Amino acid sequence: MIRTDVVVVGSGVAGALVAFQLAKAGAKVTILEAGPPVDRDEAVEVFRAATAKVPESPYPNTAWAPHPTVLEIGVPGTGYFIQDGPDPFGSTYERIVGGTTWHWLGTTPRLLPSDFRMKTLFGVGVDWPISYADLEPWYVKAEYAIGVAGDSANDQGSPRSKGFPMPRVPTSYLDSVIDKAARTIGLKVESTPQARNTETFNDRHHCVGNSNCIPICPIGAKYDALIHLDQAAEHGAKLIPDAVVHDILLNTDGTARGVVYRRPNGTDETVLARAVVMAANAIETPKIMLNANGGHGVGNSSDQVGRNLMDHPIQLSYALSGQPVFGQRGPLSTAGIESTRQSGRRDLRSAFRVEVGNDGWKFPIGDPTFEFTAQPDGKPFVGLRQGGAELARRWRDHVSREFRFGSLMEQLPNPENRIVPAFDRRDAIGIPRPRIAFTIGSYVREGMKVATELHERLFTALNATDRTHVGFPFGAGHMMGTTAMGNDPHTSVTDAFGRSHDIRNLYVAGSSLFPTVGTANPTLTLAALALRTADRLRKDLPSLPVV
Amino acid sequence: MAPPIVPTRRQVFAMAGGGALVAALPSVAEAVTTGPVTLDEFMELSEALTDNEFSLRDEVGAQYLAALDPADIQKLVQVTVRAGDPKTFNAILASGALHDPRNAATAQQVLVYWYSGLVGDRTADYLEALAWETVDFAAVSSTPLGFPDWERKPS
Repeated sequence: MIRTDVVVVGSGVAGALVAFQLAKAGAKVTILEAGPPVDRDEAVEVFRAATAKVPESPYPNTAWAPHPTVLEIGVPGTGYFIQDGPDPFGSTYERIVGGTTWHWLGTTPRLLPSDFRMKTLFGVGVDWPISYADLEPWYVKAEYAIGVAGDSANDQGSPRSKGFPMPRVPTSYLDSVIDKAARTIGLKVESTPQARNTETFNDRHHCVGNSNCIPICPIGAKYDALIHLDQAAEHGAKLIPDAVVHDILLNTDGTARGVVYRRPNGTDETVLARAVVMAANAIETPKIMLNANGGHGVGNSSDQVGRNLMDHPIQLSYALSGQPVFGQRGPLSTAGIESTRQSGRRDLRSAFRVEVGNDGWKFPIGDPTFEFTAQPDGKPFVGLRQGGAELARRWRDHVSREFRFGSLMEQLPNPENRIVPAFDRRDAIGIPRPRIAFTIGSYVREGMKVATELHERLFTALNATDRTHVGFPFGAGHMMGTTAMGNDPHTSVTDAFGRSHDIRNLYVAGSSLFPTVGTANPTLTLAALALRTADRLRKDLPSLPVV
Repeated sequence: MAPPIVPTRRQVFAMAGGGALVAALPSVAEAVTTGPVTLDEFMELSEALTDNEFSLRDEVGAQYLAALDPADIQKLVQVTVRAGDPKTFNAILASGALHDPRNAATAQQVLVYWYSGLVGDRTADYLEALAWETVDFAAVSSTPLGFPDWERKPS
């Protein structure tokens, strides 16, 4: 049995930031991670050897901490999730030390002020219990903690009190070609804020364009949670990998007493703590909370734990530009179209952010090595009577003209979109797997139609050929909602600081707190919230139960 | 096991420094006119199919050869490397060897292997797969391009 001040469940960005802040403040911190540590060099080799270069390629599944994979996500009856539909939940994550920051893209826009007031301004969704102004100072702290490179002269609709800590990531030649075409139809392509080093930061090298942010940066130039896990350890925090939390213990007064984790060999261990921080992502956190207490759940008097699961469903479109754009070079995305985030019709359909990819057709089809074997029509690129230097020239020309857009839709909270523990479908060590009910919904599908039309206009402006608009939404890897914050304990799980309404020493960190999701990639916002929660917990700690 | 000391056909070429001396040696093509396809023969076929533009590695080629149907690759080698030894793709095409759909399909599969680096359910070669080698404006994913080269139009 371990006794600690704060036990943090999950070692991704949220858990790492909370752990570091509390350890730095002098608290005794224990971090529990379900999966194993990762050796970067070994993982790069695993990636290179993998036939399918998908986000999970470098990180093999373990029996005790299985995770979903994109190769299985849409295939009924396979994979980690139990998908009850009607639509598949399309996002995946890692269960390893450092969490999904290993394979995230690194895109870090802020939410817009309007994103916090969807109910008031547009009559849909809910309002956040905090405003943009409340979170702005924490955005600054988060940008300086994880290291964001951006254009300080362009706030992209999110007012800033301080510039970015690093100069912006240079946009790509591809971005410049798309921008020139976009301007002919009244749009513009803007540099994206990214947690990617343009100079040495956090003792990490600057980006040198390994063009492999997803699934793994070989040099760690993109932020990952190891940075703050290491810093937490320097302040005395203890990290226990391969520790799969499945229960939250309660005192007789209803406060949290600690957690129970299971080792790969099936034995259980207990960690007693003055405060429990759930930071295991928007699938695993509610799964654990609902599985706890003999399956009766904890912190769920609202019946909202696990509900309102959201993603940023992606309308993906790809084509060949009329002129070479020379993708496959540099960070996988360096720019996007931001004006569509400010749609005036958010009462009717999703606003969205258009991500411009530098990664050719990797997202819709696969790595060029795979793409050569199977073009969109399923046939190899090479014909029966083709070869030699002419084949090489044709392939080079083809790849030089590949590009894609991914428009990330705002999805509204829907209580029927839900993750619960599948008590009848357990993993190898007896822990329930996530059972997910999920509907994309007409609000998103209307947004996807508008995005498709916009992509088509851009294709025309680019004299593009071989145009494809994928007919179903891709998952963005953005699990959000499921333990939403709010002012009303009857309709939300935590207060505005991520404290459980029901259990005063149970905290939640991560994008599961989002009441609505806006159109910004979630990591910066969840990092800002995590820093804010950590500050609250630091102040609360003296008044919390002693173990 | 000790490596074989018999020089390969290409090593003979290299040692001889050109065709004049080789002419005095017994022709490998003449010496091996039937039977299973050797790695040397497969590599010569591969080099011809790709117009000798790349440095193809034997240890990778061995994996592709092993994955091919022996009868199919022998049939193709018989009418190419073992029959006039064409040195370019166009020479193979001009020989009529690919009029046979089975031969064309085998040649296509050989090229798919070299470009994709994939054989069956595994990767034989990623870093030197021709799908990347031919894309000279980029670096293979997971290898550095240089900061901030992506900003500029490739020369």
